[in-house]
Amino acid sequence: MRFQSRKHHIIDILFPISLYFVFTVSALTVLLLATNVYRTTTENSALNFNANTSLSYITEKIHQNDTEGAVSIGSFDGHQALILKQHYNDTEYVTYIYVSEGNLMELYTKSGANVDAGSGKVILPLQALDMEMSQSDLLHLTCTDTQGHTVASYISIHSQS
Amino acid sequence: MKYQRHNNTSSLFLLELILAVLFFSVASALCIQIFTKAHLMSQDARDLNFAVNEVSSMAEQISAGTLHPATAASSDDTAASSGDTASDPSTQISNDAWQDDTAYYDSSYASCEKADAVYVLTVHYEPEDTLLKAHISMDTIADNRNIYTLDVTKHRQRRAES
Repeated sequence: MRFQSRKHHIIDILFPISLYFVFTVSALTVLLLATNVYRTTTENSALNFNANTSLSYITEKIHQNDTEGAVSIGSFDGHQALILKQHYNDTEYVTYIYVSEGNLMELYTKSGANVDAGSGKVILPLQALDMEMSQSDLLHLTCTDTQGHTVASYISIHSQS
Repeated sequence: MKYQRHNNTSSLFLLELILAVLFFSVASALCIQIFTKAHLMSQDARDLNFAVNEVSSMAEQISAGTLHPATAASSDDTAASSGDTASDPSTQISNDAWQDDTAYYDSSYASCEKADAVYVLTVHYEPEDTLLKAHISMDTIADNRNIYTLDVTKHRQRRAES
């Protein structure tokens, strides 16, 4: 009878509990690691997407329209804007690229038409777009995304006005 | 008999625990491997974006003729202050004066000194008569890994000698 009666030891309880504790801590560590990696990846993607894509978009638009001095910097409805002029059938059309209400916007219209900044098409969320002619043929662009990340680049203008 | 049954139950419980821990270990190892790979891919993408932007910007300045050996390394500061470019500065420099230029960047992609640098931008000029060829590359300093390379050729305009 004595042989059949089981002796309970503290280790019988302590071992499963400690194992469960180790298991939980390990699971939490892996979860935190995953969260951290996901967060940094998302941040990097957002930075790569918003600021760099805006810069690439504007650069390509400039290269595409860089003929006969068609590229200039000006003002449109109180916003600093990149102005790209085009001629079709003796009529002048203008593309304005600017930042308004936290968005990079583009508006294609006939030159002299009575339009406002709200009429433009939203391209991407962007906090600010600064443009300046560093030289007569070198444009300096600075894009700031909604997170405050800044990307800058120089673009040479080949055609002269 | 009862003792034996108790012993078997304990063994099964221990075996179950061992299997659970083993399964968790394998799953964790796989997850960490995937996370590390995702992190490295994200970092590579960020490096590539930065390199493309900086190298392209440098190429645009060389195309515009605003860079010369004295200013190429610090393009951000000098491009705006190098004055009027109605006359192309690259035409006024002899072929021997074109030397390689470097710019250094730290881990947060800001310009820095060589000692703190993680990335290096190198511009290698190869002047050929009326042409100026430039080989622009962005590399990591630690493992000398090339991130992005761009070759630019510029025609140096010269006035005909009368």
